[in-house]
Amino acid sequence: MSEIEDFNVERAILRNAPWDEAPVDPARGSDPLWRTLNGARWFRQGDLSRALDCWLPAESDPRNGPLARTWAAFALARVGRHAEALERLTVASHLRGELRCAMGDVAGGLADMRSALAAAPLVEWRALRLAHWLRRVGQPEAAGAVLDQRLTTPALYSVELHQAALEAWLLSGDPERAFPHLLEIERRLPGLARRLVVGFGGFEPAASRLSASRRASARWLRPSLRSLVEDARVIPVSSRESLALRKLFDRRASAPVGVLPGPSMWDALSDAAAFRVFGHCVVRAPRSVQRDVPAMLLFRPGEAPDGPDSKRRDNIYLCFSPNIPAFLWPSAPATPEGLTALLAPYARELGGDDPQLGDLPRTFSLYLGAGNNYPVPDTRNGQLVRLDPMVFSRICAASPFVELPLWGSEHVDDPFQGFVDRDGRDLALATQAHQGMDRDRVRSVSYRLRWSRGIVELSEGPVGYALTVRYRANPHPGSVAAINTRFATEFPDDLPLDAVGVCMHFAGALGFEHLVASVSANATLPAREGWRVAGLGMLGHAGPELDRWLEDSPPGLAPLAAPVAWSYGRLGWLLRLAQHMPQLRQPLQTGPHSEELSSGAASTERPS
Amino acid sequence: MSRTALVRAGDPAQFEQVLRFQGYLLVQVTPWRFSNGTEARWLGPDGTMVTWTEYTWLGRRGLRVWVGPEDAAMQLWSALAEVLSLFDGAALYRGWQEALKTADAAAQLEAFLDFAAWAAMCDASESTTMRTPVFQAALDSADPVLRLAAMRNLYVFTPDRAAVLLAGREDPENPGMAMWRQHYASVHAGRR
Repeated sequence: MSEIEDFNVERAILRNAPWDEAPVDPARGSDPLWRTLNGARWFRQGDLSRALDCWLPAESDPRNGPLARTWAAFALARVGRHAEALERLTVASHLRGELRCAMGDVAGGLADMRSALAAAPLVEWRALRLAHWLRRVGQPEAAGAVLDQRLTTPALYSVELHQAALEAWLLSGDPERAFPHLLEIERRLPGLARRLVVGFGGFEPAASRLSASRRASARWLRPSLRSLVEDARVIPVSSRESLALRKLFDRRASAPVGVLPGPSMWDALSDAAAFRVFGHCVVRAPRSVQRDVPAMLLFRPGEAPDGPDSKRRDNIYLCFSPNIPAFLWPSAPATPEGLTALLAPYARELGGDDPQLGDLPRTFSLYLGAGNNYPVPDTRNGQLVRLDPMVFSRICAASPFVELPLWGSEHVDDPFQGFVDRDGRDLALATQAHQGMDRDRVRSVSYRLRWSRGIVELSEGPVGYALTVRYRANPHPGSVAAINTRFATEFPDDLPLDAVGVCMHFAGALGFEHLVASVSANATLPAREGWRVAGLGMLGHAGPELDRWLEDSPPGLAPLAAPVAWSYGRLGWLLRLAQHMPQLRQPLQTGPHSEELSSGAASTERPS
Repeated sequence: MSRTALVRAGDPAQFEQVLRFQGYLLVQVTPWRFSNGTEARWLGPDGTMVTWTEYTWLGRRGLRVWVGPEDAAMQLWSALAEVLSLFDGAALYRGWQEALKTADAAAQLEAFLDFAAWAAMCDASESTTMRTPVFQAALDSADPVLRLAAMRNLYVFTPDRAAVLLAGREDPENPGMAMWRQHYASVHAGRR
């Protein structure tokens, strides 16, 4: 964390800097809005100097100036130019509070931060930052009180809040008030609780036990791993604990609930038994009330030969849930850099962890078919059942790859940003409230991917369903290519591993190019093969792909193509067809999708 | 002020390449909708806004150069015209008039759909003088499908203008006309 933080400002900047979009040389533009947005892209790249080159000249613009000024103040604060940052902030805000504290105006700064927290008392990072500054200015008791107050309401980052409260009360010399927080942390992350009490006088016995325990727990590991457990992000486990954890992976070849890989992957389900856990680590928290469990760090005994002279290094593996098969665990070399590469993509982001759709620039789609064309394994017993939204919901509810809140197509973007499920009922009520469908869009349900934060959507078509994943590039290059090589699958190399975990449930599902190839070879298709045309319509309707296929499709396929064009509102193509098929003229009087006509007045019956 | 063109041919990747080369930023992509497809908006270093529309309703795509210094916008327009086949309103209007001179119903329908898609994508002020004669001629056409196409695309007008265009028309081959006439009349009445 930086010295000065304001996650609201940071999030606002990043939301205007799409993930895959490169910034442009600031000297090339003069328009204030262009400068403001281009600066956000430089900020995303970590080049604050160039971000400021964009923002500072835009500050005088009457329209975009206020935004550019706030963003510039944040960047100036980040690079230590506090006075310049402060002079840009004339209204009380959390950012101004941190800056005033950093510049010695403690009373004014704390007042700013308190008023910002009072305006949004559930925002966890504000409580954490206020407590941070209270501790820093020698008021740990007040910090403990702020955190205790926040913890009276359930929190997403409760471990961080309890940890900060524990430290505040220990610093203020009140172990009695610290102890409940230690118990709460121990309940969630026992290893972390042991580690946290180092160096606090009131907890000397615990501290000495922890030191001994850490040395003991590292002794059973090879040197390359032993150095890793010294890292503050790793909570070491003892040899005995590690042996006990092996039973989590002793599942032989049966699939855990919510994880049903394709047949080629079944034999690999028992891979996990060959690994051993050497540590735990804290990763991003779920938005639902699901238990916030630590991830496991593992190695594979025998993967690298023992001995200090060996050039081959161990690999380390990250397992978020024992239900996830080993071939979906990200891995990296057993080095400090490898550990960072493994953990950084899954670190907790206090300012919000829900990238908007525009920030998920890549797309992967599969046609899942329908009914008997494409049965899928049920999560409860693996038996093949017809896919429908309810079956998909069951898959998602049990899946370790997907987060529970779901939303319907009435929401263009994730409506659960910043959502905290206080007791499970919030989730049920919010999900119910957000399941509506937009009549101007395809019916769909969407879920957030649990680890990569992409979005997976099941959309309903005239025949069957389509699965679409919107994502950022997989942070572990080569991991999906290895899966494709091993199991003869065709997932995109940049697809995140949790997305592979969802898609592998639908082994054999076809992509757009496959469907086009399977249809284009034929001048006609029997009606029972019509699902192929429906499938390519489902996958290609949002862009020109479907139009191109309709333009080029052989006339013999028109009877199959017409319902698809109807389903996706291709009025132009249907009118052209109506010149040769008079029977189309009647349905086209009002359909397709004549939403402006009052319901009941218009017939939008699909053409036969 | 804006200038809109139908893109008849050309690779969207080349469009993107031209814009990125000139320092444009992709600022928004709207999700697909039945009624108006999808749009990608780009912002230029001088404030020029460019919109690329996939107007799937009529199977057309269009390009709109929105605001900004006129000379810069014209330079961009020329650069894009080198890689894309652009047809502005005047060209489409001429194409429509040429098509009317032939007896080719298919060509007339294509020319009409081109113009209707362009009219749906552009600012009303860009097409004011051309829209009414095109739609009037299409509604007066002997081809029932062309009349149907005109009737279904009247949303490019304000409801009162659409109501005026449909007023007094009877079309036994397009029985939906009565419904649309009533619809526009009632929307217009509701707004007054």
